[in-house]
Amino acid sequence: MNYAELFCQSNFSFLEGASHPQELISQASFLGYEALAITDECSVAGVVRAYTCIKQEQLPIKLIIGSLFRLGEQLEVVLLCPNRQAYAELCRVISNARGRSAKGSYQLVEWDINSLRHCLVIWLPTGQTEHDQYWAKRLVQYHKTRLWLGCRRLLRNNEHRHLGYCELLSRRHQIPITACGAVLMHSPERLPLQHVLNAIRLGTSVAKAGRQLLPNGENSLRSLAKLHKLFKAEWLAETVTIADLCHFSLHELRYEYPAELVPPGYKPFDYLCQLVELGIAKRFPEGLSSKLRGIIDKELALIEELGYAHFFLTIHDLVQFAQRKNILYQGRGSAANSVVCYCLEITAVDPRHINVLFERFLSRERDEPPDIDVDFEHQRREEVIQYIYQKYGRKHAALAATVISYRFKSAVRDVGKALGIDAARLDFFIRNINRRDRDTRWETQIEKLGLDPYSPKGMQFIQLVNEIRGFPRHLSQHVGGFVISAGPLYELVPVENASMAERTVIQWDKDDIESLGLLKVDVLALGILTAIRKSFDLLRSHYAREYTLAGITSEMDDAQVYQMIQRADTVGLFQIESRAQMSMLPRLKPECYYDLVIQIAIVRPGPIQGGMVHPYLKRRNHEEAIEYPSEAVKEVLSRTLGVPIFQEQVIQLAMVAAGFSGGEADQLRRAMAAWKKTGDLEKFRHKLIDGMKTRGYSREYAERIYQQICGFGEYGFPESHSASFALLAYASAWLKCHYPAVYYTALLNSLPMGFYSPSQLIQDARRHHVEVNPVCVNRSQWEHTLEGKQPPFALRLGLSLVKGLSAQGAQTLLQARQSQTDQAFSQIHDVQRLGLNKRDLEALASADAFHAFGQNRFHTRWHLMDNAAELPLFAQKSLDFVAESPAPFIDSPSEVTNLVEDYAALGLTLKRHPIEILEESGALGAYTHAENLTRLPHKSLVTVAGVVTGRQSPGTAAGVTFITLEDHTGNSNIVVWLATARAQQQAYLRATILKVSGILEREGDVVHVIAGRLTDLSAELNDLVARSRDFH
Amino acid sequence: MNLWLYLHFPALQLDSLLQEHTAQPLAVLDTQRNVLVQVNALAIERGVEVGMDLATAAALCRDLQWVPYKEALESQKLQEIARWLYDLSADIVLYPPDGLLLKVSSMLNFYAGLMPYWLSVQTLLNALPYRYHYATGYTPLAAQLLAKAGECHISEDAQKLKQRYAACSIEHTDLAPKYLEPLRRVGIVRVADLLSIPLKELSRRFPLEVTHYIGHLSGELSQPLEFHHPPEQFQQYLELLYEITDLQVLQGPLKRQLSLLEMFLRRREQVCTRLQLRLHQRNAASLEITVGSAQGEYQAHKWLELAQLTLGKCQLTSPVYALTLRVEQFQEKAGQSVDLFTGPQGQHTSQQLVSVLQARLGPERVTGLSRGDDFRPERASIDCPALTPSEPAIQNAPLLRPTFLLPAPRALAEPVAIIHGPERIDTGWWDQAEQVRDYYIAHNQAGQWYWLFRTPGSNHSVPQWFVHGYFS
Repeated sequence: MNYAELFCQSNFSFLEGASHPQELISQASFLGYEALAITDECSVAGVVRAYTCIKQEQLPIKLIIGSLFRLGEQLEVVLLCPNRQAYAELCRVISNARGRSAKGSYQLVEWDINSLRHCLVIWLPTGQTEHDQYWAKRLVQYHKTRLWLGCRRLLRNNEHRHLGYCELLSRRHQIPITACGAVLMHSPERLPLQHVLNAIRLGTSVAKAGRQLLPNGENSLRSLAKLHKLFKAEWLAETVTIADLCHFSLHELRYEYPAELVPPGYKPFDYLCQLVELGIAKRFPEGLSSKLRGIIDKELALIEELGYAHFFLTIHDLVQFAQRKNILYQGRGSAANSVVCYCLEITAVDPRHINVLFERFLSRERDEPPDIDVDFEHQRREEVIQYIYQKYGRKHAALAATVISYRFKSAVRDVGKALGIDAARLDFFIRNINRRDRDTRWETQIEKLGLDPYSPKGMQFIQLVNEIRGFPRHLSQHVGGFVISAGPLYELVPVENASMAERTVIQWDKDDIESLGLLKVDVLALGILTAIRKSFDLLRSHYAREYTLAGITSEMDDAQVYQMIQRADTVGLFQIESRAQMSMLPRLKPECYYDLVIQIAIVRPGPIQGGMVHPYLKRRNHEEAIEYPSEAVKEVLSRTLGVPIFQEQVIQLAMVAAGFSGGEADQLRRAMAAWKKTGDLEKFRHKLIDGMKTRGYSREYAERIYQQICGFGEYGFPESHSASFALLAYASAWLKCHYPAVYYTALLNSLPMGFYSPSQLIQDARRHHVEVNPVCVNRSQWEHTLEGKQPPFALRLGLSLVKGLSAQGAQTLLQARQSQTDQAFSQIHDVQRLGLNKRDLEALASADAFHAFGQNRFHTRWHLMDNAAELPLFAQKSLDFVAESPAPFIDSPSEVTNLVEDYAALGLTLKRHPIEILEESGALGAYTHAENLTRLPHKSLVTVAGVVTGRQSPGTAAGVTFITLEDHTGNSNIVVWLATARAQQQAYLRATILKVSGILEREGDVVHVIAGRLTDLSAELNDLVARSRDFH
Repeated sequence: MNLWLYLHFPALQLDSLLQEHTAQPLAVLDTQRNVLVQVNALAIERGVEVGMDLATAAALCRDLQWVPYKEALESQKLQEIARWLYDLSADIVLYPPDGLLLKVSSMLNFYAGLMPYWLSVQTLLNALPYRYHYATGYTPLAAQLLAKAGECHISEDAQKLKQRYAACSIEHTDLAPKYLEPLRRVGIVRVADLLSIPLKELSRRFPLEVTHYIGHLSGELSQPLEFHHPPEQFQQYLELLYEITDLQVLQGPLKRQLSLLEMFLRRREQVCTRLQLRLHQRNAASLEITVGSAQGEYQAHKWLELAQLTLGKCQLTSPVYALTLRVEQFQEKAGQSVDLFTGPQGQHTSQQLVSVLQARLGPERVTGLSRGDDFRPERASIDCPALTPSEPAIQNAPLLRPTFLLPAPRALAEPVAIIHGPERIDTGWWDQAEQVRDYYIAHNQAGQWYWLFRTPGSNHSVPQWFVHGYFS
């Protein structure tokens, strides 16, 4: 006896289905079902996962694509796709129904159902006679030959009556009956989780949800024997008949590129070749070496063979647009690092510097689609997105989805609420469970927080939280992955509204798209590109020099730049400015471009957890011999001295050393990416170790490689991305090295980005002898600007820094200034009468932007607060207030109150550093300035003091916290071990100004202070403020 | 000018918690703003401070326990303290949830000076478990300002008092935060700075509230105050002329007291719902009896009736020589609604009937019945307090269920024919009353319709069958 389940919802029917699509398809196959239809409500978001699962596990089961629809209370139908047309129809119905509604919901109309011509229809009568009579007639009228009546046996109360009713309807309207399961779970054991999901959906607890929950676990995949007992044989047979009608499979989906990219009369590939030739002439004016010509020919042949010409053309078109609009961009990804992409100007990475990279362009063996991400200036990416919409139309372009899934916190919060646990208590759990503590599982930690893990409720809570993690909650938009197609997109995949107005997303995420071999174009935003482009603009306007990204990176051999990097003088640079990078730079001492590529990839959780850093360091310093177990491995690892550092190397190792096929290696790559979520790597272990052993590698070596793969996990960084990032890192370093004032101005105008606050950047700029001038109503623009007639230019802080000043207020001010003949205000009243609101005026006063008029910020602000000035009657008279002597009851700010005001109004100060003031007041005692630390010997006792500007406890270094202290001479790096932190928690956690006594550790030029005693001096500044008031 | 004393209780809720908690760091959390508003000494020792968010506090002190802040509870405690103080000081103003203002001037003659007065107030306060700050001032706001700033200062010296409050930070004033920020931003951080500004200047920049505050603080403007009046109590002690051993005999004296109560209530147009009756026994502890009326009652004969029902269940262990009748809570007399058409049924209103039944059977044994929204038959109906209005009807369609459900299922002991089923119920895993049953509708040979269920059999045991109800 055979059965096909035609009505089954996965957890992509959010908060209703309680099993993953993969679980459902595996279980159905295990139970011996002929076929399984995944019929999520108005969605096909889960089908690709089931499809991929069948492919990977080679399951002997057919997947049917379908969807459940509800029309208010009156109609419930399941639509199934027998063929490609039916699938296009289903996608259209879903897109239309979703399009009528806000994100996350849908609205079906009668026409959607009546207009169906291809989909099979399984009708589920509601039991309300009036509606059922109406719809029976309608459905028969339109879908006679494709219509069934679905009967469920869910062992509910009074079920026999409903069945009788259905049989009556069937006889009266001549609709054949088919059995169906209304499946929500792959196993009845998921019932508690289904209850919880349902309670979350209802916004209540399971205890209060009452009979709105399922009465039992029968909405699950059940054994054939059981189904045989429950249903009439002919009803079961009908399911197979229906399944046999369904021939559509997702592999039929073919992606067609839009035609507009290719001029008439051209074949895409020929056109691409022509563009490449044009590019060669531009990129290699001196002519092409035969070696490079060979590579280009090889690449083009591969592109033609795999049929990717259109993909490259699409991206070429985007970057052409960016060039026309003077938007800076840079491509990255495996396919981006090709000579072809260099010629197409998709990437600025010159192949002559890193020929080593280009052999790993596309790979026939690795069964993965070409990967090109293009980063654009973050402030202007929207222009590129709008261009895509405009060029291809909304029917043909949409963003890929990102599936937002339950993670630990959301799981605790929602499951806890469903179990009736107090919200504040859940909050307490969430805040106090340290997920980074890899020694203590959260289940154990929660015991300390007052939940008994052995009580029934405690056990349920823990189990359900673990079960729900990874469950999808809703679809969101991918950061920038576009799918563009020739035909209407809604015939390929349903499209729905995103939360951002005017954005639409498809129902599949990037893995799904990859699984189906569809191509997406990643349009991403990157802040550093904004900063670099703004630097170029400033160089043009102030130095009359033209630079391009490819230009300044064409040689990449500027010794000055590398010296600066080796000194870890990298505040504000792309990718190499973090504390961890800074402590590694003086050790690795990058000397060339490829060193930077490694530098960027190695200081990441993956290589650190995989234990790759120290071996690499030792080998680089010739302290350790480099050995390879085989020639094949040498080929893969020689460029990184035998230590796997890049994700690509791990995949290649699996192929050359363990005999993974291209497809298997690709699975491994995905499993690595999802390892933290699913723990799926274990199944590759045997294959890897056995494979390596049979190829003659030692078990020990194989085991080490496996451990490194695990350590890599989702944090492994691809070389192909690192290569592009290294280029940008070099470009930013070059700018900072040669034009610091320009670079800082551009960088400050591109915030927020990077690690550092404006205050830290300004401190750093001044240490690089850049003159920084304060905010001034007469001189500041909205952005930060360069001032002066010739170099060295000074940096003038912009009005954008003033907290509480509206953009509109600033604009009014700037416009007035422009139109005035003398180009400047000479008294407060000049600004006051522009009609800025009081909030804006007061913000400017507190920022001391009126300092040019001679009064202090307190008096100015007090003066501006006066309501009388606003009354028209007094408008004239208010002129007099200016002349009036300052209010005697308002004090002048002392140096430290000025400091406090600077921070409150601007977030930074240009006057003396707080530490300098405190030092003078004697509050700090004896300590060593940051700039003097490098002169002290290793292991000396030292005391430092500073403002706490950074406090990081990276997951990669368990129990260690890095604190950065800033004084007026520079930054000092403090390492706080767990025991020290615990013993001195108050100072450790809360201090804003800290004094640390400890031991100085030096390794080359890297200096750390290992904290011994921490003293919180935060109160000193307040005291100083208070005291300054007592003695004025 | 009058002298005032302000008492500020910074941790009323925390201090009112049971002592057993104090062995642990403990805090009160304002869950709306997610900041701690009160912390105990142990928590302070560990670096936890008022105003901290929970995460920071918990990081400093892993075993920190916390309870949510309840303003109503504080106000209630404040009322209690006011009631105690009322014995010592006549004019009290409540500043809920955590402050009390006492008018000192009017008491000085009585106590012969400030210090004796303060001493007796202090003695009383020290006997209570609450921390407090206190200060005197020549205006209510001046005293409040000092106390809220954490001062503990008693003085009559107007000059010194002024100096003291002028030195306070403006944060301790009652001014709204939206005014404090602009003041700080022009360098005004102390009350003295604020006072130095001519009111005319101030009023051109701030709304009236601010100038009023300063006027009230300095005493240039007088401030209307609403004094606290403790609620009245009815308490009558009656020494009996002879000792009583038979409770029946108590009727006479009790009736006399209840008549006094009736008079008291009639005058106020009030009713009460509960009497506390204390029987003072010669050689034993006094007997405390509570008599309740759900509806609220004032008539002596009705109360007597209810009291007798309750007394009927009591046993005297020793002769009674006196009795006290006490009533603490009163309600306004409300007109009782009587249905126009059905009219009152019988002599009692339903409330009266419930009162009578509860007095006789005990309150816990008289309950109402309402529908439960649960698949488990045992929970399809649930007890609720008597006479609570029935909840809005449950949305779900009614289930097919037998008319009569057995109090407990009994094993099936006769052959039956199954007609419908099963209806599977597998639910309740969350409340430890999990139920997994298959229900069937069947009839026996005599034609009786049964509601049966079967529990799933494990590998070894045979499933068992039970009868759970009958269909009519």
